[in-house]
Amino acid sequence: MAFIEFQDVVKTYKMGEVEIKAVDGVSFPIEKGEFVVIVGPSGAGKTTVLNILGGMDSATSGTITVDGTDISKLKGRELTKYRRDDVGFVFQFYNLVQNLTALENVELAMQICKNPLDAEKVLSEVGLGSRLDNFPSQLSGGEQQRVSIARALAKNPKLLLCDEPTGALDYITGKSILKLLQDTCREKGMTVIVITHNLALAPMADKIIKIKNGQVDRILLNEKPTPVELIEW
Amino acid sequence: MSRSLRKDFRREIRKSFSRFISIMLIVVLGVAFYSGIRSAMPAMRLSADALYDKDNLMDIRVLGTLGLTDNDLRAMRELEGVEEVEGSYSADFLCLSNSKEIVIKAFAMPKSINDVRVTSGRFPEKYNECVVSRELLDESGLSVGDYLTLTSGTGESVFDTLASETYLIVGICSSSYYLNGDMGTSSIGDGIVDGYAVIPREAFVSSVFTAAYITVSGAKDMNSFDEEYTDTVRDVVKRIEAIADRRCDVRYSEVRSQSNELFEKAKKTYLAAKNAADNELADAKQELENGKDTIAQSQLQLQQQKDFIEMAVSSLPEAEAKIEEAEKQIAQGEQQIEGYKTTRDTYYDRLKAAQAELNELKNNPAADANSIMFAEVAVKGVKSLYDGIDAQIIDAEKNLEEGKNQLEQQKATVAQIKSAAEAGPAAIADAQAKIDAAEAELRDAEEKYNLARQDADSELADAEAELEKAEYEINNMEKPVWYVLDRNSIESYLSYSNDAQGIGAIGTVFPIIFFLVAALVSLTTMTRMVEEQRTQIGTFKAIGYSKTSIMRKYVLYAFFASVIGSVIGVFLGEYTIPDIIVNAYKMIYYNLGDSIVEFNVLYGVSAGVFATLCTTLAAFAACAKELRSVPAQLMRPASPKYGKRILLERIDFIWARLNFGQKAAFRNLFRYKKRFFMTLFGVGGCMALLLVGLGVRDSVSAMANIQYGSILTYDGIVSVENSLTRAQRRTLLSEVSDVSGVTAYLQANRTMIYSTAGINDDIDGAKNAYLIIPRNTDDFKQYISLRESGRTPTELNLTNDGVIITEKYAELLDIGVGDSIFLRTSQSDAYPKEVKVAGITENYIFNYVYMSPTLYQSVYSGAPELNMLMIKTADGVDTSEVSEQLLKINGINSVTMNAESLEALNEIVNRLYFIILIMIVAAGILAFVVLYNLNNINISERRRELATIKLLGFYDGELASYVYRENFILTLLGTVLGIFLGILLHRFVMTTVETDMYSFGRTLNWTSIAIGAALTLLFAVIVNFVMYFKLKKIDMVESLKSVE
Repeated sequence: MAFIEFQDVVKTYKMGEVEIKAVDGVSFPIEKGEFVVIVGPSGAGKTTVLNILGGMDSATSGTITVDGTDISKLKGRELTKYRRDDVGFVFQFYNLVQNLTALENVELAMQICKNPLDAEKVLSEVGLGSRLDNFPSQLSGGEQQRVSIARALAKNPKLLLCDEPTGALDYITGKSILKLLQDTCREKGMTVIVITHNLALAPMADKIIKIKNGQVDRILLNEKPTPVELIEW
Repeated sequence: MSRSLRKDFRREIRKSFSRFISIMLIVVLGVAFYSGIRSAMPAMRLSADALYDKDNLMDIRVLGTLGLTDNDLRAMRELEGVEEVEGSYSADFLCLSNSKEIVIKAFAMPKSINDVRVTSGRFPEKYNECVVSRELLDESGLSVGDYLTLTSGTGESVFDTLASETYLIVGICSSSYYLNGDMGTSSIGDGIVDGYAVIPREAFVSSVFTAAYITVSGAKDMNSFDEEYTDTVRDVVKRIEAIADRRCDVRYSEVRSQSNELFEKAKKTYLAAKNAADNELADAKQELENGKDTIAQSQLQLQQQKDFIEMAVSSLPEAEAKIEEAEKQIAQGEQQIEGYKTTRDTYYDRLKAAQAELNELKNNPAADANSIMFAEVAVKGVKSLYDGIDAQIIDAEKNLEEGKNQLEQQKATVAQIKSAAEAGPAAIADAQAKIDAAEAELRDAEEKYNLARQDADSELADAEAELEKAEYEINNMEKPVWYVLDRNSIESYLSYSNDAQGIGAIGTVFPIIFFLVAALVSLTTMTRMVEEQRTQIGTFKAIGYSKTSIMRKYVLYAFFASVIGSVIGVFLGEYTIPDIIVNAYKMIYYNLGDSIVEFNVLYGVSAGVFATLCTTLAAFAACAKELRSVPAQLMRPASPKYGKRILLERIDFIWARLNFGQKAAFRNLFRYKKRFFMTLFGVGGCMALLLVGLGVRDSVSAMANIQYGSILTYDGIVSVENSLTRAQRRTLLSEVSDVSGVTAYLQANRTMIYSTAGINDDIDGAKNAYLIIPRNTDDFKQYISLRESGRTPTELNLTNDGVIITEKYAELLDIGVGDSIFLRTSQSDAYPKEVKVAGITENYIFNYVYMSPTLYQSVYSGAPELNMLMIKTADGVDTSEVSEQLLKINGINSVTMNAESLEALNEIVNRLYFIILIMIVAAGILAFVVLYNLNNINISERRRELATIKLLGFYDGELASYVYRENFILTLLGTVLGIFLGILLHRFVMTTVETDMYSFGRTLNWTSIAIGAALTLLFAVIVNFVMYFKLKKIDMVESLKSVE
């Protein structure tokens, strides 16, 4: 069994009388240490996949296994525990707590998990060793996203879930962030899942999962992922 | 406004209906509270006034110490401004029921003034029927149909005042004169009136009225609690007072002459009675003497009789001898007579012979003449012999007869003597017995006489003493005084008026807090709305709409919300809140009629306008700020508020110990300044309201406890009649010290005085106070503690340098130590006396001027009349018992025990629970509104941050504590602020509700602060608990969305 396994996952939303199937029988495996890009146009259902995988939402049917645990069976507090211990989130808009410094934002996440990494070290690793005491508002978008990544990494999660991590960033900064993510995956063997609508990012992944109309369109395996520096969009 | 803008406006309201409603509701709340509580005082006054008008309650009551006559009433009726005058009778009685003695005020059935309403049963129709108050039935356990039996309580007969002692209760009545059970004091029983009875006028036997009730023309059209009314009535009071002296003089001489007449009559009667008694006794004595004489005579006679019998018996032999002698003599006499008769016969023969010789001679013509002559001489001679012997016989026979008679007599006498001597001893014994009986009778009579004499003497002496007393009383009769009293002399009127004033004071302060909070809340809400819509504003601006038309939407939004809110609020507030408050007070003033609520346009409109202005201006200001930015800036998401370092971070050893949540919380506090101040203000306001509510209680009870606990350390005041003789006073004092429970007393003088700060000050501005002159300044310290108030009170001594006055009095007269005041004994006293103020002493109830007797002597050149006793009682003694005992002593007018005053005040304190309840409810609402709104804004503003944190894996509890930490700190800060705010507000309120006669404690108890803080925190906890569900509902997915 794969590290992460989606099996016939269905998610139905009720909009009044109408039932909408946001995800309709999605199945895919993700191996440990893989760099996966889930790609698809707006409304294809990738956010739903993210929500379910991130423990923010539960599936209507189907099973989702993460490191041997069936998270589709989890409820309330267990789900929160799953998020807190196993998942690191990287958001499009960084979602830093404005009132805390870079270091404190990382500590924020660390305070709630079992075996965190050293916050300062992680921040140095993402290249912010000299900006520990800066508030988010004093940092550029790329720097903020690095803090966000550091915050996710410091928890020492099982997987890193990145929602459009470059969406709010300019081209060059975006590239550097993607590089950071790819390096993290390679160097630390972290499972990194990036969700994006930008197909151009696909070549850098080990596995590309294309989603369309709530279903898995194709799963591509990339034997030789392109280094981020060479990707252009 | 263009069509699309209008459409947008309409949709905006529909879309954000909850926000619209929330602004509206906060305005409703603010306006309702403001206008409602402000209208409560007018409503309270109106409700009572309507009842007063309905019952034609008197405006003025005149009492005369010698009663009021028809002429007095007529004189009052003629005064300007007097509408109607009605004389009435009233008297206090005791009634023993359920082995409890209750004090009853009985008054005459009113004609038109002070109407009573019969709530069940019927009006009395006969002179021995009555209607009574419910309190009387409750206290006595009697019910309609029972008989009420009155006793005077003074030892005098009920029939001196009333035609009947017993009255059939035919109904229950209520009167607006007594809005509650407080019916004042009495000089009998335990001194507190428990209920009243209304009995027909004809049941009163008095020839003068005890009181006159007066209505003032035009007063009914005014509100009895308004200044206009007070002024109008005061004018009439002055006019009545102006005629009082003259009328009193008239009454005085009237009563004097009446009493004199009565006295003279009584004296005459006395003298007549004395004479009659004397005469009767003299007669009796005479008779007694006569009896004695008779007995003496009888005794004498008896003696004579005895003597006589003795004598007779002794003369008996002699008498018998005499009888024998006499019988002998009679026999001799009879022999002699026989001898004489023989001689006479001889002579007769010789005469016959001589005669025959003569006749022969004569017939013998020849007889010589000489012979004839010789014959004739012989005849003559013989005849004279015959005649002589014949006469001797007659004599002898007569003697014999006499002797026979005497003999017979003698015999009878002897017989008598004999029989008397025989019967004598029995008769004597009989006579002796009679004498003895007469003597016994006499002794009885004498005894009786002596008793009668004694009785008559003592009775006469009593009568004489009484006459003397009456004479003394007439000679020392005090001039009558009129007491002209307005409605302030009615206990329930006064306390109701004070309560209304209290509500009024609350009405001036608290609604403002609500108002400010409402304004602040709508300001934040509108600002938040404008901030949320900055993109849209930017878009409109970019499209080319003018600032005004963009702004119009938000301003109108606020305008509509607040106008609708104001209208609802005004009506809701003005019609419900006063009604609730009046009805709540009806629990205390149970005789109050229906509540009358009048719409106060001024309060309503001012509240509405102000609320609308606040919200609209808030919207305007928020828009104006946003519209200053260029469209491009507006269309980008608002840059989040920057995180900033705060001062606390410099203090490393604290900061280093804080976890991120605490750090964030502290930074947040200073980051959202508006929220910071609003919470502070809202929570502080809540705390302040609670403190005022609880503090009112503290103040009143502090006033009571300090006044009667540590200032007036005596236990009771006994007021003593003015005109007592030395002996009477001595008796009174010894009787007072004999009352069990009384341990000590001090005599003093207490007089009402009126003072001004300057000699020429208008007498109308004079403030009254009790002038107290103790007999002895050393003992005085144990009865009243004079001290300068402050943290460490300094004791003051009553010296001869000047007077010591009470704090409030100094404040009223605006003077300090070293200044002079001018004392007047009455308002018309033309010669005020100047005295220096030597000290100002702590005091809360009434105003006092304390003066040493020496100073009095030098100021008034005379000794003060000691008309009062301050008494001390043993610990744990039943004071009502003591007061009852004291009231029984002759010469004591009234007794006021501190325990009773304290109890009355404590009752007021307990009544304040209602004000406290209002405060707690108000504070609670305030706390909820503010905290709920702020939390709401807080959560919606930070929705993204909270969603992120939740997504990062914070449990609900952790998330809540992250948010609540701030709230908690703010609530704590607000509470602390509220303590200071509350102390200030409480002081303000207490100063506002103070009257000339009362001042309150200004300090809050620690317990009140603790309770207030606990309640405030409780409210905060409840709000936060409600918010917890809101937090739980935050959707994590929000964190993924782009910033709008």
